[in-house]
Amino acid sequence: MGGPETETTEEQHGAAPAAPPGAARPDVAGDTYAPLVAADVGSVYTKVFWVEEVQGERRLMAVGRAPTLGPDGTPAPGEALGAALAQALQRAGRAADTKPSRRLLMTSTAAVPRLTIVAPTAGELRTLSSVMERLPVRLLDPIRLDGPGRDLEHVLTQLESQAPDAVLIAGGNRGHERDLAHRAVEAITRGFGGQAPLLLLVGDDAFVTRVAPLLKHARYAVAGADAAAVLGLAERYVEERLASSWSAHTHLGPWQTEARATGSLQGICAATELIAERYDVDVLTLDLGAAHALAVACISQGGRRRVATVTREDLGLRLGRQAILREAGAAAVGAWLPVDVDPAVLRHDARLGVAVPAGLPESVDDLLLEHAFAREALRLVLDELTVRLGDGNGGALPPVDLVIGSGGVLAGVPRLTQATLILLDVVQPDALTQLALDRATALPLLGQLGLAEGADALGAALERDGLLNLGLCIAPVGTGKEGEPAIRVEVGYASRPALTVEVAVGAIEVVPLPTGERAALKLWPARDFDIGLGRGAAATPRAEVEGGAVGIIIDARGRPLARQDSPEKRQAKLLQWLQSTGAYPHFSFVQSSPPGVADEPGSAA
Amino acid sequence: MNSTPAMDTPRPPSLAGRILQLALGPEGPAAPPAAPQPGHAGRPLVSQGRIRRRRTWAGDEAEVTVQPGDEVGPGHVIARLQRTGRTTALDAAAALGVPAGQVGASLLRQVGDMLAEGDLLAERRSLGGFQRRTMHSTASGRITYISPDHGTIFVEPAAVERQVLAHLSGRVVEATPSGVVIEGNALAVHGVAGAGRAAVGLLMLADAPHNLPPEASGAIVACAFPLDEPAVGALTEAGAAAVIAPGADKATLQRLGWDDFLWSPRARSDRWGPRATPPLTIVFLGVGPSEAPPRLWEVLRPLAGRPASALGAEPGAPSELLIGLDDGSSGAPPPAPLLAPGAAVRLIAGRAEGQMGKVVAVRRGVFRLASEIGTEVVEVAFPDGAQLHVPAVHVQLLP
Repeated sequence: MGGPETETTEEQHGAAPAAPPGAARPDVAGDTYAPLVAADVGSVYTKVFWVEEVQGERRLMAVGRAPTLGPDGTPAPGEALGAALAQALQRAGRAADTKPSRRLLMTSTAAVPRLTIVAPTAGELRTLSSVMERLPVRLLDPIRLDGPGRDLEHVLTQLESQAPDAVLIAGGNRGHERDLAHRAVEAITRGFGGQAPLLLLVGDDAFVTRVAPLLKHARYAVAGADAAAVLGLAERYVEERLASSWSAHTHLGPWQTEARATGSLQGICAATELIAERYDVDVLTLDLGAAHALAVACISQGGRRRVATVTREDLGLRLGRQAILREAGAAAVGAWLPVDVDPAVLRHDARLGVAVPAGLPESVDDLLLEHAFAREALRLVLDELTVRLGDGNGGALPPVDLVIGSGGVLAGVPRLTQATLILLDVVQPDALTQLALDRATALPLLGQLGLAEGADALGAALERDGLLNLGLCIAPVGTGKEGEPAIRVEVGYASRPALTVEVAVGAIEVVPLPTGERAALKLWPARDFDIGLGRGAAATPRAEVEGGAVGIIIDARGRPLARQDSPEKRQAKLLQWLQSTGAYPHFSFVQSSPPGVADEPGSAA
Repeated sequence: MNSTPAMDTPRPPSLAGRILQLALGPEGPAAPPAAPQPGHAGRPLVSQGRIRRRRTWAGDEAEVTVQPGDEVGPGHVIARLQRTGRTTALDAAAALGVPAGQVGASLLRQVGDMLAEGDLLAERRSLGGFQRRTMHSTASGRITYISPDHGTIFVEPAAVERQVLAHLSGRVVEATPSGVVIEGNALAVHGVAGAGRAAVGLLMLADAPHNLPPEASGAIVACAFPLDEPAVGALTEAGAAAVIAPGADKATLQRLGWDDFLWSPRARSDRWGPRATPPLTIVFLGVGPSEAPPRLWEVLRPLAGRPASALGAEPGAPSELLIGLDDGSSGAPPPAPLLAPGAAVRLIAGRAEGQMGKVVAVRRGVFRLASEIGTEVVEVAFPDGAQLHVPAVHVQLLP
C-alpha cells in the first residue's frame, strides 16, 4: 500500500503560508499583536520567523529564507537577514517596514565548540563527560592523566592534533591526582604559550591556588568542584564564544543592537527537553544541517531524566560529505542506494557540496544520493550517542517514544515519506514510536523561547505550528521467514470501515490516517514477533491514535534492518521499500518510467 | 499468529503500552525554498570595479605594518605574524630516574640555551660512577623553562615569521590588531575552492598543457585546461607561485591526495599552523575537469603580464584571483550579478555541470525539478540546441 501524501503542494513549493486555520487576522492598529521576529543564521541558509499573537495565542505566521553566503561565497549575514525578513513579511501580509516588538537572533555558524576533557582518573573523566553531555559541544577524545597522559608529550600531541577550543581540566581529589593535574596544566600553558586553548579549571580552591602561578599568560576560567558549577561555566563559555564570533559581523543594524546572538543548537536541545517534560515522554531529536549533525536524547534513566547530546561540526550534509565518506566509507553510503554507484561519483558529489553549498538535487537520483549521505551522517552521530547513553558499556539505543527530525535537509524533503524513511532507517525504533518533523525549521526558535520565557510561555499552538506529526511507527521485533506474516494490524477509523493490513517479514507498509483523524488500533504480531508485550502477544492500545501527515507506518523490515547477502538482493529490497511506500517519483534506472517534470522536450539527457 | 486479540492489555511500564498522545497538529508553515533576489544568480565568475577585502589572521600575535590611508600593492606586507610551534615537553625526572627536585643537579644545559635534536641535555651517574643515565633532546629549539615541581624541560622551537600580503592593491581603510581592510579597483575571478595562501606574481596564461609559459618562476599561471599530474609537476618545477585552473582531473585529485585540503572546510583553519598544502597556491574555478570558459580568456588575455594575486584558502577569505586595475579613477563597486535573457552563463552543479549556455528566461515563482524540489530556476539554452530549466543557484554568470 503506497504512502499517502497529505501535504499540500502549495506549502511544498513555498507559497505564502496562510495564517493558522480559524485565526482571525489581527488588527494592527487596534489589537496588540506584538510581533516577534526571530532569525536563525545557518552556514548556508538564513531563516527568519515572523511570530504574532492571534486571539491570545502566539502563532508562527510566516518563514522567510535566503542564502547566507554572498556572491563571492563568503558569509554575508546582513544581506541574508534583510532578504529573509522581507520574504517573511511579504508572506505574513505585512508591510515591508513593519517593526517587530522584539527580536531573537540564533545562529549555528561557528557554534560548535570543540572541548577536550583532561582528568587524572577514569572516574573523573566519566563524571565530567556526563556533566558535559547535555551541551551541544563536540567532545573530543578525553585524556586520562594516570594512563597514557602520564607522558606529557602524549598530552600535548593529542591536544595539538585535536585543536580544541577549550580544555576542561579536573584538579583531582587526592595528592597524586592533584600532582598529575598540576603537571598537565603546566605542560599545556608552557607547551602552547599564547596559543593555548582556554582552560576551564574544575576543582577546589586548593587546586586553583596551586595552578594560579602557571596561568599568568593563559586564558582560563574557574568552576567549582560540583557538577552544577561546571555545567554553568561551560554554558557561559559556549554563550560567550558564540557572542564573540558573532561580534565580528558588522552592519547588521537592529539585529546587532536589539538582539543577542544565541545558539540554534542550544535551542534544539532545549526544545527536545521541553517536549519531553511537557508530555512526559522520551524524545530523540536528529538534526542535520549543511554544516553539522546533532543527536539529542531526553530519556528517563534510573528514575531521572537524562539529556545527552552528540554534536559533530564536520558531518553536515553539504560541507561534511568528505568526512562522512572518510568515516562511514563509500560502501556504507552506497548501500542505501538501489543502484550501483561508483565511489568516484560519491567523491565528486562530496566536492560539490563544499564548492556549491546551496546546491540542490536536480534529479531523483541526486535526491537518493543526498538522502544516502544524510542517513550515514545521522547514523554516525546516533552511534556515538548510543555509546554515550550506555556510558561506554555497549548496548543498543534505549527505546524512545518520539523521534523528531530537524534541520534543513529533512525539512526540505519534497515528500514527507522520505523524511520518515530516513528517520526509521537511522533510528530503527522497535515497538511503537511516534515520528515528527520540524517542517518549518523552527525547533531552535521553540527552544530559545522556552529558555528565555519558560516552558509555560511557549504555547501549544506555536508548538503545533512548528512541529508536524508524521505518524506512528509500528515495528514488530523478531525473526521470521521473508514473506511470511510478521504482524496484522486493524485500523478502526471513526468514520469509515475498519482496515486490516497484514505486513510480511521484510516489508514496510504505510496505512493512511490523515492529520486530524483518530483511529483505534488492534495489533496481532506473529508468534515469533514482539510488539513490546512479549512474543506473539497481541495488543489493543487504550487510547486512540492520532493521524499524521504520513499515516501509520508498519515496519517489519527487521531490527536491525535486514541486510541482504548480495548487492543485487540488497538493491532489489531497497527498491521494494521505496516503491511500497511511494517515497520517490519514478526512478531513471527502472524501465517504462514516464519522463520527469523538468525534462525539456528535445533537451540533452 | 495469535488469533485472540488481547482486550485492554494491562499497560506495562514499557514502551509498548504507551501510545503517545501528542498535541501535534496540522501543518504549520513549511520552510519555503530560498528566495534569492529575483533575477540574481548564485555568483558571478568575474567581478570588476571597486572592491574591498578584509585580511585577517586567527589568533597569532601580529604586528600590523600599515595604517588607514596607506596605499598598498598586492605583495605589500600588511602584517607580520610570529608563529611558534608547539613546545616539546621532556620528562627529565623519568628519563634520569630521579625525583623532580634533583633534576637540576643532573642538567648540562640551562634555561636560554639553544639545542639541536640529539644534544645531550642531562646526565646522572650513580653507583660510584659506574651507572650512567643520559638524556638527549628530541627537539631543536631553546630551553624556555625547567619545572622545579615536575622536572620537565620545555624546548621551544624557533619562531617562524609569516607575512600577510595585501592581496588587493589599493588603500587601507581599516587596520586593527585582528585585521586590515583594503579597498581598490580590481578584476576578481572567483574560484569555488583552493589551497594555499595569497601568492603574488605576474599573470601568465597557458591555453594548453603543451603551452605552459617557459619562464613561470614566481608567476601566477592561469590555465585554460583542467590540471593533470604532468601539468602540476611542470608548474611546480618551474617555480610558479600559483595556478588558476577550471578544475582538475578526478584521478589526479585522488592520486595527489588534494581532497583533504581543497574540499575540507576545516582546512581553512590554521590554528595550529598551516595544514598540509600543495606546493603552490591553487584556485579552482569548478569541481570537475572542464575547460575554462572562452569568455574568461577574452577578459584575461589583455591583462597578461600584470601583477596579480591568487588566494587559495585563508580564514574568512574566498578563493580568487585578483588583478589590480589601477587606471587612476576611483571606480564604482561591481554591479550586482543579474540574470537576464541573453546573459552568458556556466553551470557549476547539476546534470549540466561545466556546460556553458545563454539565459533564455528567468522563471518567476517556484519551479518543481525532477527531484520534486521546488526552487527558482533559469531557462538556459545550450549550443547543441538543448534547453533546460536549472536551479538559479547552479548558475554562474560569465563576463
